[in-house]
Amino acid sequence: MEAVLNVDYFAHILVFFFIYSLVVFGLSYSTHAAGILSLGHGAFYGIGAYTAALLTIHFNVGFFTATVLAGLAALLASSFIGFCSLRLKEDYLAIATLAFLEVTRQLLYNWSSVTNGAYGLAGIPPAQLFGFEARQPVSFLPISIILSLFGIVIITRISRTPLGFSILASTDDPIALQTFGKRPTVLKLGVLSISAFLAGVAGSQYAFYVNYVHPNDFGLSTSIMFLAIAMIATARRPIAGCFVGLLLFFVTSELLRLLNFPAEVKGNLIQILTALTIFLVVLFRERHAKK
Amino acid sequence: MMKSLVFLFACFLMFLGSCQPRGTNSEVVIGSAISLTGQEGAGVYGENIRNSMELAISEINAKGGTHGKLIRVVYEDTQLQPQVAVSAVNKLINVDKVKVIVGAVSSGETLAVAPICERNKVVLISPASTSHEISNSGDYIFRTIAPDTLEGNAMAKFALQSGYKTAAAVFVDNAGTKGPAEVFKQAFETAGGKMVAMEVGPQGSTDFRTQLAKVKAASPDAVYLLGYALELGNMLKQSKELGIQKPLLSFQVMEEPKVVEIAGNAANSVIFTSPTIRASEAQGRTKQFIDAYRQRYKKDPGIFSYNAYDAVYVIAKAIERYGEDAESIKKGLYEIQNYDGASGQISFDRNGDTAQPPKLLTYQNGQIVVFQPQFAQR
Amino acid sequence: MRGQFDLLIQICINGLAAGAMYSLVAVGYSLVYGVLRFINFAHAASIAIGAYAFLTLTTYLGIPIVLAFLLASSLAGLFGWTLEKVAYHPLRRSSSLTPLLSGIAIAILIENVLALAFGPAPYRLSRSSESDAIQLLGRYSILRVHLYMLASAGIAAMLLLIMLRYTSLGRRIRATAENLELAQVRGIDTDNTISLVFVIGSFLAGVAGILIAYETQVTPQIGFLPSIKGFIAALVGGLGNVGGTVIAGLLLGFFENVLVWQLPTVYKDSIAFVVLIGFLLFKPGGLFPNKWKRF
Repeated sequence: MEAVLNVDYFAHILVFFFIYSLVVFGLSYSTHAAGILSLGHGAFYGIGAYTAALLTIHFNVGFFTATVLAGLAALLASSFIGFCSLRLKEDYLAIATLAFLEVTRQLLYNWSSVTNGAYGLAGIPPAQLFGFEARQPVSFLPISIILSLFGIVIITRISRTPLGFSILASTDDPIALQTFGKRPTVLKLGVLSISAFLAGVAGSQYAFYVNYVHPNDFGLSTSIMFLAIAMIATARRPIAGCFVGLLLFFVTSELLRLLNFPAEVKGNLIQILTALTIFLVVLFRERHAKK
Repeated sequence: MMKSLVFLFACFLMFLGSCQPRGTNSEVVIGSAISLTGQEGAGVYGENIRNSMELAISEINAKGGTHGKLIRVVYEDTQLQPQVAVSAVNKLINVDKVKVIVGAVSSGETLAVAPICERNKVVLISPASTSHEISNSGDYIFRTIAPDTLEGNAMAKFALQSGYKTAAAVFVDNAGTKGPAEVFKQAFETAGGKMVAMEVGPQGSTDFRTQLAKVKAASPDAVYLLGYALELGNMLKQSKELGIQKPLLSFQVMEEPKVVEIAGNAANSVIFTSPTIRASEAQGRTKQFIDAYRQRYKKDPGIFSYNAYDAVYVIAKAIERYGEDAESIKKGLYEIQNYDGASGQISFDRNGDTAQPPKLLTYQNGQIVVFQPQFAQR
Repeated sequence: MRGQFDLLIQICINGLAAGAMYSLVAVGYSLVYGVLRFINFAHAASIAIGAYAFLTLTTYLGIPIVLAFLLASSLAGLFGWTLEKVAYHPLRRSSSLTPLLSGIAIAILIENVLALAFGPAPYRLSRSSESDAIQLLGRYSILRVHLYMLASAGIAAMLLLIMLRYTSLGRRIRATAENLELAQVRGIDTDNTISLVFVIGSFLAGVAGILIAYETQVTPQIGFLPSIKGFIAALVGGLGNVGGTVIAGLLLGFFENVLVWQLPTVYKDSIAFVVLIGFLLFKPGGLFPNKWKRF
């Protein structure tokens, strides 16, 4: 019984829960509201993580500054996808995001003079806040919760404003929107930028918490995992749906771990479940779509 | 709605946690975070390590265990990915409450989990990670495998003594395979040699033809090939296919039978360094281990098997001497000097490293034999 | 200087070899896209199934190679049929995003199921001459299986073109591709036609899987990189244009390898993705944009 009441273990899971939540909020909003399906959100997460890591290792930048800059770096990177989205239809755009993901990963791997390539960046100092060092899961948890709330606030604020409805309209009915003088493309780009920013912030947290980043952590399987979670949310409930998705994901992976499934099988099982989730959600939504 | 969901979630996890079998007081529980699965054959390493650990444990337990208690291992799969390794280690530390962990496999993973073990004061002992960066990663971090600097340097020394003026390296972009190449280059060039090509291939790749073609065109006196089993096997095979006639040099991954399986004839005459001796030249402890392993698993031990076997034994020794908590294990390990292990003599230096001097070996007719270099008279 | 010249020739040969594989995979992609206008990411699964089926048939069941080849590819084709019915047919009416996601999900699913069933370790197909290298002009090397790939890609493309132009099935396919509703009005069983297209495409993928397995090993991820590169080749050639796709595959293989003659070799895999982005942004129709009149 003391197993999970172990605060550290529980706190560790929760920290990741809230870090992922930021990525997923943005991804969910971007997918459902702006119609941009990103298969490569792991890249923004990774760019955020590496930016924060490099800033703090080389320039001793503090946690909050590094996090903000990490978010901005990811936002900048997203402008490329934004540019693509102006010219590409949704499925081609998805492929472009995939290409972007892979190119980013290769860059992180090969630009070893900066990123240390295959060795990864070790020894990232832990976050220093108000004189405390957030080394333990329990001390980091408040940070990730606060930042997650911050993400929630941003997105709900936006989506409940007239601006937010314009964003929804930019996917549903861009022509009507234009007659109102709003520009759907600009709105979409805005949404994408925000979602990338949030992913970058999440990445920075990851770097400060785990104290080690490696290019392989930000590849396709990570992106697909984020996508599967984000897909459980819907356009009407971009945030609450994410929590459901996150819960499902974390409960399942820890279930598999705690139930002592043979270790070789766990990784494959999780991937199978992720894939099934995506497949079933897609199928289910299709059946119930209003056409 | 949200609150009740979170509450339910918490209850659920607690319930699950209570189903977990607890270590009893008559057991010592060791953790292991290794790649039992992973891309392109990483599962082989985990399997080798696990087999050896189980063998060691059954032997030790048959003699009454250590410190009066039997040993049990909890295995976690890291899939050769640092992020997964971090989760695995967290679980081992916080749920299974282990005080010592055998792992990880790749240097990237070990570098990622070392700070966690340090922070939590849990001993980490890696049977496989060779990156020199691990030497300084903590007081609680040990390894039963020599850092890559030794192999790289030994090979460079051999190359220089053999009179090679130029050399080329083809290696995989991975901490464990890049390390020896860079060390080799440094040592070789410091002594006046010239590296005419340093070609890199992505991890998990099976096609090195372009890299090898470039190496061939650069006409080195010898070629240093570094990769894990799948990659190395293909490198050798493709070197032969492309008609590279120069001597091929490699490192301890050559011990892994899969390499020969893939490379076939191309493995013959490859000269490589390895801290362990196999087959006909094996003596003493090493031979004992090989025989026991063969008997139990009906096949030869593979790469990292020897090191994992030794890791369990040195842990048991430390526990026997001082006790099962982490401080005791740490203290006991640092005191281990000249321990006769399956992988060679083990003595931990103040970095927790051990330095089995690599020997030169080669393949003849599919068997590993000691290589007797004949250096030209000068 | 001779060394550099030899290197360049060998690199060109490597390029051809790689291109042969891309073409073979790309042909299947192109066909499906031509008819249905979406990207079948589950192609990777067909490749893997072909390879594993062949492995099982030859190594475990001792079936002679040629027969196993046909059986394994047919199994892949059957998978394609099932795939269409289960994963794509129900999504026919929605945006082209959903089949994409569905395809990716299936690809991941199959890869992991195969890993669970066979284990993650690579398998070698029993040693045979296909994996051996042939010496060209005494100093260059290419694998026998690469020549098979070239031949297969060429033959497949030719057969497809003939089929499309001269057979009734081909006409039905072209009609369905041009205008689904109109084809239905004319009494063509479009569902059946679409299924057949998938069968053919997946059969070809199965063939590719077997040959790739000879070139390297059988692993659960065997389909991953080839299918992405194959897709890139199909896009560059003009999705739906079978002939153009074969050429594009060869060009891609060439381009990748020749570029790393001077660039550090590490960037080889990135090149294909940069090409992809380039074409997506500036020439999404590919090099030979599909004109339906000349399928």
